[in-house]
Amino acid sequence: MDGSVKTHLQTFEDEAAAEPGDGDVFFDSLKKKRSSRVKQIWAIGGGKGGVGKSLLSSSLAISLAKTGGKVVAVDLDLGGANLHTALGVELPVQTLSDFFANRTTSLNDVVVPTGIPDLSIISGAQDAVGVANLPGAMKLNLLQNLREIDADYVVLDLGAGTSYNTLDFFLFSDIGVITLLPEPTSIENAYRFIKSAYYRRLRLSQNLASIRPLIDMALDAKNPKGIKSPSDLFREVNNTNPEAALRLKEEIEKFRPKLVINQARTQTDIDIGFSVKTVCKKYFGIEMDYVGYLDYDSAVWQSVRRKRPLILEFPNSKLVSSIERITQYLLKRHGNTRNDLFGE
Amino acid sequence: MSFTDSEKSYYEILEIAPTADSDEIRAAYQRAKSAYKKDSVALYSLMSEDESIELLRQIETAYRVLSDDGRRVEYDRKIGKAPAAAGRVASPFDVTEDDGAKVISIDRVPPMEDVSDDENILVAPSTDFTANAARAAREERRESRFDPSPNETSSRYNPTLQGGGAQAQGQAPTPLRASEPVRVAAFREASPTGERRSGILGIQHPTDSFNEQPLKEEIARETEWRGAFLRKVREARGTPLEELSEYTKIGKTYLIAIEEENYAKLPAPVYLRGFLIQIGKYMKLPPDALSQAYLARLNAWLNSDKNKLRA
Repeated sequence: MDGSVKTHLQTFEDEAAAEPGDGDVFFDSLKKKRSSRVKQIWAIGGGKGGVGKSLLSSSLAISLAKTGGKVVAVDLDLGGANLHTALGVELPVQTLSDFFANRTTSLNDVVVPTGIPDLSIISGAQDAVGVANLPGAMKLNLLQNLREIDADYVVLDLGAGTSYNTLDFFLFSDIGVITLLPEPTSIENAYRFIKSAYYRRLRLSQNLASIRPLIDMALDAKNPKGIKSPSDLFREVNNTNPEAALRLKEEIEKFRPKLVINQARTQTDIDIGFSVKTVCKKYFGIEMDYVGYLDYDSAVWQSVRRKRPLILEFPNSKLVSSIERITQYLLKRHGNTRNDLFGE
Repeated sequence: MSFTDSEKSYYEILEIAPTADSDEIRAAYQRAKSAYKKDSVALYSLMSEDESIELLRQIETAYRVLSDDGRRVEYDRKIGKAPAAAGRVASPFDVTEDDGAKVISIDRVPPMEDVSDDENILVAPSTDFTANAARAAREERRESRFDPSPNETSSRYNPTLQGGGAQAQGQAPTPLRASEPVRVAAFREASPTGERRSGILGIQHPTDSFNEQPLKEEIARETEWRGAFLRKVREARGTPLEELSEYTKIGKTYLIAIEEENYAKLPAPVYLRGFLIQIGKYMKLPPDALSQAYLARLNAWLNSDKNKLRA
C-alpha cells in the first residue's frame, strides 16, 4: 500500500502542476453554483471491479424513482461504462462523449429516458480513447453541470480504482456509498479507496490549508516525521497546532461514507460490515454508516444475462426489499445532507 | 482524554459512553473482539498483526474491569480524579468524554431493518448514535416485535421461546441429554427450506436486541434454573463456553456438565454452589436463586439415588 500511496503523491503533484483544476480556483468556480435543482447527488464506489457498483447504482436509482422523485443515473465509469446495460437500455446515441467533445454545453441534452417512470440515464462515454483520464478542466465542467441536471436525485455509478476523477466524484457527492464483498481482495481495495478519498478530502479542504504540508507528508510513507496513519497525523498536528487539530477533527468527522456489503452468504459476512465500521473508526477516526447488506442471490446473474434490471425482473425478491430498505434509510437518515467540501 | 494508547480510557477502548450499561458493554466487547480477532478479514491490509494483538489486549483489559461492577466503580473513581490533558484537542479516533453520550450503535443489524415503509421519511430516524436514542430505538423495535399482526414482524417473535420454563415444570428432575435441542439456538438457525435469514425478516443475532428483550422477560419469570435454561441464555447472548470458562475460572467440562445436568460429573455441592454463583454473576442472572434451585434439584437426585441403592 505504501507503494501506491507514493504513486498517488507523485500523480497528485504532476496533476497539480499541470492543471489549474485544484486548489482555490477549483473551489471558487464551484461555489457559485450552489442553488441548483438537484436535491442530492448519490455516488456509488468501492475500489474493486465486480463488487456490484452498477447493480447497486441502477437498483438505488430505480428505487429512488419509485419513491416519487425524478432521478437521473449517470455512468461515470469512464472507460468501462455499462450502467445502461444494468438498466436494460440499449446504448443511447447521446452519451457523455458528446458533452466532453463540446457538442453540447448542458448535461440535460444527453439525458435519455430509460422507459422506467421518472428515471433517465446519462450513459458513459464509449468512444473517446483516453476519456478515462479526464483532464481537470473537463472534470470541473462536469461537476459544475451535475447539479444543474433537471432531476431531484442524481445517482453516480463510479468506476473501479482510485483515480482522482473517481475520488473527486465520490467526494463531490452528498451521499457516498462504498460497496464491498466479504472477501480480502475487495476489502483491501475498499480500504485503499477510503484511504485515498480520506486524504484527498483533507487535502482539498480549505479549512486545512495551513496543515497541507503535513497531510502531504502522511501520503509519503518515508516522511521524516514518521507519520504513518491518520492518528499519527492528528497527533502531530495536535502537538504543534491545537487550533488546526480542532479543524482537522471537524473535517475528519465530516467524512462519513456509507457501507453496503454485497453478496452476503452468512451471518459472518454480514458482521464484516460492523467490523469494517469499527476498524475505520479506530484507524481513520471516521463514522462509517453501515446502511445494509445484500444477500447473495443467483437471480442477479439471471437478470444480468437477460439484460433486465434486477429490481424490475424480481420485484418480490428479498434482494429488492433490501435495496428498498437501504434507499428508505438513506433518505430518512441522510436525505438532507449536503456536501460542503466544495463550499457552501 | 488525550491521544496515546496508555492514556486511553477503558470506555474509549471499547468505544462506548461512560454511561453504558452492562449489555452495551458486553455488545461492544463482542463487536470489538470480532473486529480485531486474528484472521479478521476486516483488518486486511489496514492493520498489522502486532497492532491488532495490542488492541485485543487492551480490549480484554478494559472488559475485565468494566464487566465487573465492583472494579468498574473503582475504576470510575480513579479516572474521575485524573485531570484532562490541557490544551489538547480530543481525538476523533475514540469516543471521548466531551462527546457525552455519543456512542456507536451497538446493534449488529444494519439500520435498514428499522425503516418501515409507512414512516415519514422527512422525520429524523430514532436510530441516532446516542445512547439514549439507541435505547429508545430498542424500545421502539421491541414494541414492533410484539405486534400481533400477521406480518413478518410478528414471525420474528417466536412464542416457543417463552415455553422453556413452563414446559419443564412438573417433570422429574432427570438429567438432560446433550442432544436436547436448545430452542433459542434452533430459532437462530436457517429455516428448514434452506432460505437464509433475510434483510426483511431481520437477522437473529446473539447480541441482537430482538433476542434480548423476550429473554429478559423469560429470565424474570424463571424459577427452575435448569442447565438447559442456562445454556439457552448463554447461547442467546452469544457467550462462548470458552469465554464463560475464562471469566469464571470454571473448567469447560464442569460447565458442560452443569448445562447438561449431568449430575454424576458434577463436583461436590459445596463447590458447585460457588460455580453456580460465578455463572450467575457473569451471565447477569440472580446468583442465589439460581444456585438454590439448582442445588435443590441435585440434592433430590442424590437422595433418590441413595434410596435406590438401599432398596
